[in-house]
Amino acid sequence: MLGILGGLPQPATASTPIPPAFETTGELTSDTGHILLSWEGSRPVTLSLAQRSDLADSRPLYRGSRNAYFLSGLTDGEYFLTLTGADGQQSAPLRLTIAHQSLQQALWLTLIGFLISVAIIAAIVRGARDD
Amino acid sequence: MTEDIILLSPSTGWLLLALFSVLWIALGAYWGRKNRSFEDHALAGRNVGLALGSATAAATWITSNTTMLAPQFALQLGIWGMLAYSMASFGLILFAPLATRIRKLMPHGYTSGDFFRLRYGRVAWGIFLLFTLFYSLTWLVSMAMAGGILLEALAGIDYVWGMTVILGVCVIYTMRGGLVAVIGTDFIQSLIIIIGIVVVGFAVLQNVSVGEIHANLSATKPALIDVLFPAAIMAIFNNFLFGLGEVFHNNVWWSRAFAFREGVGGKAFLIGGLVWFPIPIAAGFIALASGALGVGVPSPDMVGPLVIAEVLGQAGAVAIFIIVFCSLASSIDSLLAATSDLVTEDIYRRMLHPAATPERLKRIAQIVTLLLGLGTWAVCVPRVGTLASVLFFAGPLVGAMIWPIVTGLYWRRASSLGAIGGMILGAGAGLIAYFEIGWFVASTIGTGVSMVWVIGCAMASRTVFDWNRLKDST
Repeated sequence: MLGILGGLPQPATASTPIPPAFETTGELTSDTGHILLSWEGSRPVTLSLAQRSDLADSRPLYRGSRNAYFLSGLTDGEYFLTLTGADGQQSAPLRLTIAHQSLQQALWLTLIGFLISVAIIAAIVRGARDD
Repeated sequence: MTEDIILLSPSTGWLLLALFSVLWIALGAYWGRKNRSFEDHALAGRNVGLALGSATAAATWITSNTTMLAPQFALQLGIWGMLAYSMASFGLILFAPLATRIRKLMPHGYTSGDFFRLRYGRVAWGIFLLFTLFYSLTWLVSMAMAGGILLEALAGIDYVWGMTVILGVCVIYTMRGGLVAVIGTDFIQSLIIIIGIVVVGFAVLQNVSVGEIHANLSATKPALIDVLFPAAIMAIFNNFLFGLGEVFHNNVWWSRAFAFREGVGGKAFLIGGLVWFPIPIAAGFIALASGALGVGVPSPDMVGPLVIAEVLGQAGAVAIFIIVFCSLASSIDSLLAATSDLVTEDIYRRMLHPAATPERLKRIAQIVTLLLGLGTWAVCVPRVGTLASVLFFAGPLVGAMIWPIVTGLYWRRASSLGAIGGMILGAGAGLIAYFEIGWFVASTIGTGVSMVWVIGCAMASRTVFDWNRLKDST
């Protein structure tokens, strides 16, 4: 679809395909459930996500010629990401650990924010009583 | 991360850029032809009516952040993130009573700096100038950079050329027409943006139902519809306070409060806020539909354009280009005008040349606008990627100014010590929270610490402020 609108860059077409690989090699962590993934190597690629380390429940997230994908909305847990090239070559799995911020801390800070907001509104609505 | 997303050919992009550039400059020259004095130039003769007033309030608040960052918020923080972004509308809505109060207390005022100087003295004024110039200049630089980056991403226009054209066009028509040109172009720009967003929203719904979007989110991005998503719920009131701080302190909004005709300010800001409220929700909804539409997102700030192009094709790509251009112009021109007025009034006139004539001040404001444009251009050319993110540091700074402003306008016992301490302690604590916890609590902590200090000082204060001192701002 986007290809007909303008010049999407052409995928790398080297005679010997370069196996796809994530730019990050170590384990990834996130406390917000989202992360930006990027990779290099021949394209197109298929990016897949699994929750089991043996990748048995792997499901594709993206197929195409771009070199990045923004992943969001994940709940707490461990995830395994893989890239598969057009020739079937697969990258090593990249482990992603999601551990959201403390809900208790979040609720306290939200309550504080609410009280400050109410105080500001009250001060404005009350106005100047001693004019 | 956006170099792989070109939706229009460069020639189409240049054509659109040329058409709208000519339009804005011609309108600026036409509307500014009657400006004679600094008051005409900076405050549109203090005679702006309700329709233009409401439109400029909404349009100035619709920045490229609204059209690009609101979808990013939804993609990162889900439903709560979308609503959190919309909370910024309360900045305008709650400024409505403040605008009425400002007009009553300071009928001859020019800038928000006038208020700080007259209400709290020179030390507080200096801190305010430091904070507000940091915020305004960072916002200006981030908008100009965003312009160059977005035009390059959307149409393959070279970054430096795109940034230069957007900035140059805004500088020319703001110099020529002053606030009246800014407000006039804002009116047209707000209509284009609102119509564009509504059309896109309906187009998305033609392609995918709400049920399908919900099913897709439940299966693939469950945290986005989780009521207890920690980062997202913290962002709600943080954004509320960030928005309040931005609007309450900045001369962009104070100059409008001074420029609106008697009795117009309150209604205009209320209407502007209500008009603005659904826009981030519509923009965010577009992002939430990306999964159901099968759009892979390579960079979160480009989710809006990608979905729109997917749904509307070439017409959508043209629409998003125009919407982005209008969003950028409506904010850059306002920032240029308000910041040049602040520098002219608070620095040139108050510190250097108190006896300057109105004609001379108008000329200085035009020169300052040009210098601001040149300075911004020079900072933007190297394209330092992390510079735009500096804007987020401003959250605690602007949050810390809320209580000094609100109490300064309504409480006679609000003191200089309270304002100075509130700004410094609040900003400091907020910045610590920014680095220790995250951006989504920085404004909350900054505002909270400032509030405690300001209220404590007001309760302990024995001085009673005479409101008549604020009238001395001619």
